Amino acid sequence: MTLEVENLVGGYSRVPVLKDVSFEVKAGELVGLIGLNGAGKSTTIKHIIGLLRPQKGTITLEGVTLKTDPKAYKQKMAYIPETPILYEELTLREHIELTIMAYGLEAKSAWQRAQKLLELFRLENKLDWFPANFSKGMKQKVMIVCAFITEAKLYIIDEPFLGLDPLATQDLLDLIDQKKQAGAAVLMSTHVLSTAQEYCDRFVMIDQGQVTAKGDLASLRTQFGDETASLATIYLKLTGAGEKHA
Amino acid sequence: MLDLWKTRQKTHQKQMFKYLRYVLNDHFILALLFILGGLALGYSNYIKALPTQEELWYAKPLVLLILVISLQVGRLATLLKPADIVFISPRQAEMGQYLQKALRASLVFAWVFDTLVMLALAPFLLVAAKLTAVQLIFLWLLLLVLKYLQLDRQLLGLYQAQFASGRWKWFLDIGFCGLLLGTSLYLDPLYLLLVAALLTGYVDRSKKALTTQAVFDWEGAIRTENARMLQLYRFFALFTDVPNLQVAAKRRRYLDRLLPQAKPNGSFTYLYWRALVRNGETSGLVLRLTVLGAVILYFITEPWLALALAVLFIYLLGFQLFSLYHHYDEVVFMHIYPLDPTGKQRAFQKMLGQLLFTLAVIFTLVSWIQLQNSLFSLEFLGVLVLEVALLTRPYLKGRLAKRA
Repeated sequence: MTLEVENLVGGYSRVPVLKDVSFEVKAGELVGLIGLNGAGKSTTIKHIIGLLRPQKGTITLEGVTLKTDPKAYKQKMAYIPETPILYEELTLREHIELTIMAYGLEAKSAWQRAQKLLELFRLENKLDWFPANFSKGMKQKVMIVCAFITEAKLYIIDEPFLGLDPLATQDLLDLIDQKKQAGAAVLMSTHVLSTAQEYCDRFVMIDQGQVTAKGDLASLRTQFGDETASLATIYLKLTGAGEKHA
Repeated sequence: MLDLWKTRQKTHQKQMFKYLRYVLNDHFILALLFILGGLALGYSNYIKALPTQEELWYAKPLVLLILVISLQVGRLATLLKPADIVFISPRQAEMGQYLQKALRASLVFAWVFDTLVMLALAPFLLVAAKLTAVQLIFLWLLLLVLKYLQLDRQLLGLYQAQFASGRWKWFLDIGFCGLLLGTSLYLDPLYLLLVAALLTGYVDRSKKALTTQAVFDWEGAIRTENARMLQLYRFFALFTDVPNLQVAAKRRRYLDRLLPQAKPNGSFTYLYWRALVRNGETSGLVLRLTVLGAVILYFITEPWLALALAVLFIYLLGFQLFSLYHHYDEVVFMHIYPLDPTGKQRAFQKMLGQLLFTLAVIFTLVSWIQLQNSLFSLEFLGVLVLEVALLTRPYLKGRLAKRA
């Protein structure tokens, strides 16, 4: 079990946004965290990456929690934010160097991985530029490169498909697949449900701070009672939003 | 469009007055009066002491330098705003009118400045460079014409990017103006005034054709205007808080070799030095305070006053750089990457300590040049080093604890 979230209660203030959220992500699997805007996806992710402290419940990453050993916990995790966040004063090369430094990676092999990714995303001749001035899609590619050169056990990817062109989206999905093969766990939040249906191994559906359903597509269909239903239909039905539209 | 210009100008003036009120507060005006009075007195004594018979060999080159520099003051203020790309661009054809207004307003300001410079230089030119009063007037007119030509170039640059490029800037604003002003100092300024006037007339005519035919470079124009306003704001920021003062980072490739390289556990050092050097605000602050402090110290002959000022300057710089500690707090990766949080304060202290120590050495050297007293300079350095140590250790810790 790579990531275990147990009975998580939490949020920004005293009033909890998340009410008793539990799920897990196993090694070698891609789990989709599915929910509408404001359902609690980002809040869940903020708890996992350590920006928010749980009010109740625990989050364990390969047996380690943020409280017992923050450095080891962070070492095992890489994060790609929804909106690219960059160091205003660092070049692309320096972003990669900083990542290598912070994770204590072996520089030579990490740069080899970086070089491959940079070529994949056609960024190899922009190493000495400030990514802060790049376009949104290119900034996101920088985030992907920095996250994927680490040898994390858990990758957390927040809403990855916005701003990426179709080619880059496919490249990202391939990269996720490679990491899965190598034994990493991936948690991805999204509301691009068609892509999620096609690529995720399992799903965790969140609505109003609660997990409404989890499992693979087959088991979700069984729960829903329709063997051909798409992920979108199931989700809309579960949130009750579908009824208003029907 | 003319109404737009008028409202823009009015709000701009209002804003500038608001900031000027902060800048020209009572203390500052008093200090300024003293400084100006002192300078004027010193200048008049200097002129009186000059030999009246022959011309000073350095008079003309010095005047040329001052004139070329003062010509660079005052840029074309278009007062355009980023949203204009969307809202005003449909009325592209009327931009010519608008810009003509803007040019005129900028010109008045620049001409007043240039006239003041000429007035200040006049006694020196008459006594030391042996110019006649008539030549002086022609020189003054030449300066005004050249300023007009320069603003014209900036306006044309908004239509044709090549005129806004650095090469043209150097060629016209410095090379050409320097040549004309230089020759006019040695020959009769009247001829060169005629040359400049003819050229300006020609440029002015081609400007009319261009502004009706060429495409207005909205992005370039707004970038230039933002850069201009930023300079103004940065000046005001020395005296008061300016909201939304965002300075883009500068690459400064030539300093790359001096920056700390990547090494294990060196993340914070790596980050802080790069932030310090490339952030437009902090690097400017360091540079300004260092140069200003060094220049002032160079002229001070009273040892204890020099020491007090050096202490003050180091305190000012150190204190203002404290905010750099939190510079990257908003970047989520500072909290997510497996960094050792205790290393942050140590790295910052070390960076600040090294910077301020360098400053202390520079100040000591400058004051030693003036005072020529090695023993005192040692004490001077000692006091400054002690200050740096106090500032970067207990004082910084106290400030950070207070904020946390």
